[in-house]
Amino acid sequence: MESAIDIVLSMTPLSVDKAYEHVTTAATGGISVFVGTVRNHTARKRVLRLEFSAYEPMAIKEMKKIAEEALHRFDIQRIAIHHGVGTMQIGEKPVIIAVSSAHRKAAFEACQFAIDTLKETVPIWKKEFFEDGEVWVNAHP
Amino acid sequence: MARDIVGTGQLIVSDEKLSTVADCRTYLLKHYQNFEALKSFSVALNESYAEDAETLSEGDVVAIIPPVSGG
Repeated sequence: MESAIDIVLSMTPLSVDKAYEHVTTAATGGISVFVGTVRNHTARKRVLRLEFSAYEPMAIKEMKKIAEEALHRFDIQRIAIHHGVGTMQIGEKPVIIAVSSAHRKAAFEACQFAIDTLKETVPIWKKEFFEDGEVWVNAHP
Repeated sequence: MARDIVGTGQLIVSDEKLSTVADCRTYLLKHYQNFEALKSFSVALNESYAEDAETLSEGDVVAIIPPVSGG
């Protein structure tokens, strides 16, 4: 079952192709891919770039837990969860999740579950850089 | 983020006995007021989220997890 899961936490740019390839099997009928991208604004403020930092050993464990839970909950074949760390410019990809299944519904649902849970539990933090300062996202009420 | 607040990636506590996760939480809030400005924060024990009641043992790795914002 180990090869059903592919977890990456990387300083180098992520590849949609790699995540996609990992989840493709001969029995696959559909693949759902979610790609998070760095956008140029937040609440009408211009964002210059983002910086991601992670508590790496725990982030990898938490991503693995999400993948295991997705395999358990949904009728899927494989799942890849890749996350980047370091500085990212507008348009770059901090996160890629790919899920394969025999039928599309499970892949869609598992993909949504994985990104929603990742945003709640995986110890990764992003800092937004503006023209006039910087802020840790989601840190303060 | 916690590193920004404390000013270091590793905090050595020698003046107080911390025996539970809740003790760590109290210690941080007492000595570093900026933790109060956070929405919340969790404590991890050996790279897993820990409940406040959990007790610390020799050699445990304790980490402070401010609100996450990956993705």
